[in-house]
Amino acid sequence: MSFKLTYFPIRGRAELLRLILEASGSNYEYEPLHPSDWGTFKPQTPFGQLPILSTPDIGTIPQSMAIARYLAKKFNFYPTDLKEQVRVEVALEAIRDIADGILQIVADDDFQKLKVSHAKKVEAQLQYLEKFLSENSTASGYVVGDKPTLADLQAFNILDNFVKPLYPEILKGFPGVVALKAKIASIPNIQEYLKSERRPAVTLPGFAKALNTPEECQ
Amino acid sequence: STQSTGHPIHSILTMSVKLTYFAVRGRAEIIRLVLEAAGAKYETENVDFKDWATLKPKTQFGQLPILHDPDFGTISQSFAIARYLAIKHKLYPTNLKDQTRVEVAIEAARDISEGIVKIAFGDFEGQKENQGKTLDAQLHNLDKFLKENDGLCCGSGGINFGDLAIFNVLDNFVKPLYPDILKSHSVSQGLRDKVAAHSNVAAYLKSDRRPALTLVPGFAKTLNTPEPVSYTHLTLPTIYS
Repeated sequence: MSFKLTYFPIRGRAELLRLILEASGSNYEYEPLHPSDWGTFKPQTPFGQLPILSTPDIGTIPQSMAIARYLAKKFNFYPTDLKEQVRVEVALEAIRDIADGILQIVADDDFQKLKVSHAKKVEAQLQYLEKFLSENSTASGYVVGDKPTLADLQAFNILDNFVKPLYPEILKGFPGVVALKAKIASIPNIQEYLKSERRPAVTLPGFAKALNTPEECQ
Repeated sequence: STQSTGHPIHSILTMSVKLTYFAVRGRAEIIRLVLEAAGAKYETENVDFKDWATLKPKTQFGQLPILHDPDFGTISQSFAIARYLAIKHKLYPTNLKDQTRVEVAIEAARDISEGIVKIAFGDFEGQKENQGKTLDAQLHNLDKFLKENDGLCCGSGGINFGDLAIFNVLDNFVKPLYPDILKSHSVSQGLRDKVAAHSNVAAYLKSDRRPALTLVPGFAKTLNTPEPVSYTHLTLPTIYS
């Protein structure tokens, strides 16, 4: 079974997908799309956006979070029990809120000023997440049950690639969140990926401005 | 004010879920559409805007809607709630291909609503035309997506969660601000009409259970709220029709 992930040469909206594929240990192809080729390629995509994933069984999938759920289900990072699924989905939404809040300000001209006032919001969001993590009855440190799910991979992704670069000290007040991040980073396949050259250098979509990439890649 | 019977034990005895939100469509509307399409019984607890500051710290994420399910406890986050109810009421597919199409539909719908919400509570008049061009492109792609499955999100057995998510965004976000735009997107318009014609949905759309629409350009500026008003915190109790 082989998958092909197409995206710009940044972490951005494909990084979660790379984490799932890497954690699964499965073979996958990565097709980097250079921003100068985007104009030609864009109309060939289902929604004029990247990432897209070519799959051996259901064709090409757009929309990073739809791709993420597909891969998570394929590679046992998505629970089969409904109660557990709900915890994963609640966590995904809470983490999405954190990412969206940051995405909104990095694109703004007033970014440096907004960054300061936004920190309080991030702290409040992390507080909710910390409490939510503590409610996992297995006390494993993961979002649900005793093994990592899509929610844990996404938590790591957003904390490492969105929160930490902007607010390096902010996680110190949240030991459960810090512990989860460390647990994911220490999964052998992930650990190896994080050190490898497969991990793109650029983190935040807001950096795209400096790369002169089109808006849509954000 | 609350329209529920008030006592928590009553919910368990009647085995129905309780949806807590403001008396507006907003982020709860997808949940209402799933419950209504399924013909499920549910209680509604409306929170007055003036009571929100007191209630907010008691909620799991400082947000509404929340759902209380006697089988499950309290669930937060509108799409987590809606997906749970869709699965529970068999409005979520069981095969991975169709599930993935539903998730694509939801993301496409969210892209559309988020773009609109951003300008509706920002510089609406200044951004309306630009956003209209973005919306045209989004609806063009949505038409393409629906055409892959004969005008429905997925499968052939009638409407499901994906169709409801698209309907919600078309009827409650797109149409109020861009009333004529679907004229050039017939497949999306067709999906909208198919969902509206579903007997349970049709009954809901005519009923007084359907709350007031929220999205009013520039409304946020006129409100005197104790914290900056944004759509991620709450939707505004106003009438727009």
